[in-house]
Amino acid sequence: MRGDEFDILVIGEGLSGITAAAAACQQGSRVMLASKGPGTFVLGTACIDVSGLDADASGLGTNEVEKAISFFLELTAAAGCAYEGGIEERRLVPTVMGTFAEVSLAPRSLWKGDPRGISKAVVVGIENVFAFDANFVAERLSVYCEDMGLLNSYRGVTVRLPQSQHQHWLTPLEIGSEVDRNASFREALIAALKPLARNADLLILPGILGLNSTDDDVGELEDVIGCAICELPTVPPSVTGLRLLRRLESYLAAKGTEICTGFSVLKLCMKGDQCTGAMLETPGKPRTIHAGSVILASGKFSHLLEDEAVVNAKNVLECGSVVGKCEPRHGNAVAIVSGYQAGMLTNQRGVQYARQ
Amino acid sequence: MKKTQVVIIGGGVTGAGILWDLSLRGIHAVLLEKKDLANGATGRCHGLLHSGGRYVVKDAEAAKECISENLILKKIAAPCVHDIGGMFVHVRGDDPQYVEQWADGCKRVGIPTEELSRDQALNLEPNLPPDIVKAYTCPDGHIDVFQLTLANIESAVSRGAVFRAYSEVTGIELDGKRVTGVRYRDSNTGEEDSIQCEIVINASGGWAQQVAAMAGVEVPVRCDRGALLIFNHCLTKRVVNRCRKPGDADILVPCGPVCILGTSSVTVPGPEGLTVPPEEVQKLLGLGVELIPPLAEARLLRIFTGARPLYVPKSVAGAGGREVSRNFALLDHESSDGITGFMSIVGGKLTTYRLMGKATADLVCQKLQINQACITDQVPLRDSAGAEVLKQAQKWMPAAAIEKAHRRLGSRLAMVVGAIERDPKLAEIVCECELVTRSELELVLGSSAQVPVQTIGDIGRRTRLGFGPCQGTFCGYKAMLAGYQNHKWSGERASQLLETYLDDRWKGQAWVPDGKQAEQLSLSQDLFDTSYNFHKRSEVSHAG
Repeated sequence: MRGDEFDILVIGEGLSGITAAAAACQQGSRVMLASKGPGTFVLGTACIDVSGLDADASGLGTNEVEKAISFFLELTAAAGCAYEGGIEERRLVPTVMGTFAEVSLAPRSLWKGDPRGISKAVVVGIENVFAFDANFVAERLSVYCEDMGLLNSYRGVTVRLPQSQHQHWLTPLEIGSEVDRNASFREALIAALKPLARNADLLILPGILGLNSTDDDVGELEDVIGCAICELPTVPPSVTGLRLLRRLESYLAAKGTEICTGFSVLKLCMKGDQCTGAMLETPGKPRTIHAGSVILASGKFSHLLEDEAVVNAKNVLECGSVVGKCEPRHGNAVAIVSGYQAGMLTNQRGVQYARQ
Repeated sequence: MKKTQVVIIGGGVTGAGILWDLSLRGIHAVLLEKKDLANGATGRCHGLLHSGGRYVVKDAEAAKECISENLILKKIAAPCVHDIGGMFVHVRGDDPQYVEQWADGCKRVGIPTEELSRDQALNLEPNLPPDIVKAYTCPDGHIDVFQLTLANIESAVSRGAVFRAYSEVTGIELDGKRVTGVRYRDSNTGEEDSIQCEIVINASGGWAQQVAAMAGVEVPVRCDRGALLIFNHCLTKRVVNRCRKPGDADILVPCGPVCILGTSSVTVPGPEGLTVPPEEVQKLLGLGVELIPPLAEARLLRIFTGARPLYVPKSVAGAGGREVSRNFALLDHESSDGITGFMSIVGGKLTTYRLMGKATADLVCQKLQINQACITDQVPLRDSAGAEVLKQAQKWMPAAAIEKAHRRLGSRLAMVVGAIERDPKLAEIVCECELVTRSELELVLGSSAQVPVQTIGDIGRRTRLGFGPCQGTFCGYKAMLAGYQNHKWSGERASQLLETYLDDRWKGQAWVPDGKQAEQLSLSQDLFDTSYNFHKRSEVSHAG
């Protein structure tokens, strides 16, 4: 059946799987991206640290690191969720724990949080959203800045936003969803932020600015309130991560990648030393996907790795945390580079089921 | 310089039981604990309320004590005891002669049992191996050790007793051969202070030797390490014991949403710095699967270990850990060592903690020439909440959360529900695994808590927050913010406390060989270490 035949099947939609699918798809292959859930995007901050990455030790070519990172920068910019930074960059981004993490690339809204470019920041909390505390973050960031000899001031303010009578506490996800759907809620948010912006050069918010918003939406908000904004990914599930994933998914779908989310892979089908595809645990009866090549980006805990025949199959490529060992801080960098490499390599096998 | 009649050293269940007993007899006492309540062996055991069955073949005396205390605790500590019953299972291949001795022993000691055929037993506990020979029922139960210790301390405090956590005793003051007081150090501030008293009770379990040495006295206590495995499933309804000569991993105790398998027996030099080697974990798992086969597929949450403080008088010094009697000993150092006003209560076990308290308080009364009988077998430790409160709670809390909170809080559930009535956002479930509401969290953090908390781990010991599959990754963070918002901790202190807390939670998970919990641990470490640059993971070694 044409609908279930693909050149490349990518399993897992973390950073690595998404990059692999994008790389594979750009050269005309018919690609399916299958995953059980939203991958690691909703868990971490999706910031990338490349500095000190030993490309050889991680099995990655140095040249490929540069290529992969610029590919990823182009991809995210085109998808409306641009990253800032580059291989040579070092930047401090604030976190919900009130610390700074040093990174090479970060989603644009996080990138603005570097303390070295600002003097007066307001950390904004939202009443009844307990997963984030503005005073705590402000207090800790001030201490770290002082330690670094910076004279920044961080002030914590908690604002009240309209909320349903029946809901007494809120998660960042619920706020993000309100931002997407409810114009009057957005008005109220703007009204609450405007006065705080007057006396500050940066507003630091928990990640709440919509699950579906684009860079342009966030940029517009900054224009309206007249101040730069930095979002902090909250403890999982993180709105900023989910937003990234949604943007990248829509972009890939528009480019012709088929995306199938929500079903586990029951098993990978083998014929001799070749993997012919996968069986997905769809309701009713399993859906069989046929593919010329398979990219395993299913994470180091995937049950698929337990099958040696699969791992050794000639047309199965692994990427992301499935490959080798690296320092934890390089996990995202390795994910992108190995995903890119896997996507490019599978393409060399030729395109059988070209996209219409 | 403060003054009291009695100072008790050690905030385990033994010390807590003594504090409560003394308070009922109108004797002023201060309990000093170097960390938090139930930090030693009390908080690191199965939580098994013995019926006495385990000791019936070898040590009838201990068995008798167990069954009699078992019945008393079910009455006076009802909210802290899950009266789930127990079963002794004759696994195929185990010595049938032992099983007969066991059944005879129960008859002699007076432990009520009922013989079950293989089918009857499997009907009650379908997760037993299908080829077992037979089984017996027994009145075992599960004790929430933290709640039992807390209930004793709370009750005593409400009668005027004093509990000081994080107060490490640094010296015992003597006037010649008479005890006059103790010096202690506040482990948070480092400040030293002292208390004058007439009697000092050493109830410090595994630390008993160190404490006794401060008065120049030797007590023969041996630390015997046992490892326990917590699974994130409740695979049996009742306590399951393997009916054979006591050995490793032959008891499985269901405790609410989890079950605990244990244990092992290894002599160690002291109660601190204990680790569990991977071979031991594999051995315990293998034995556990023989008793309950589905354990092979169960999610192992964490592994913990503690040291039984065994009383080993010189006469039996050569015996192995399992040969040493579980009986307790009350050592009057006035008669044995000529030190007036000093006594040590050593050995024993969780089930007989009340009896140990009684014996100790009796001796205190004798020394102080006070004529007051023990009534701890009569007075309930915790009152229930009224039907009104339970009904009111249904408006705000899930049924399972009400039941759990009621056990933990007794009549103080009214405070938790009342606070939610006034401010409905307090109904938020902060710890989703153990169903702890923000209201309960606020209560233990607040100034009205009878036994205050100082760390995030302390909150866990009061509420079970962080005891479920996330192991504090999410709820520990929320608890930290709650303490900060409460102005209990500064930002810096809150951060330090979360670091310490995560270290502790990560340690027990790192001993888990593989499976879902390894994934959970990786998430926790990637978040707090890599993503937030908050807390560096340190390699946890097995060999240590």
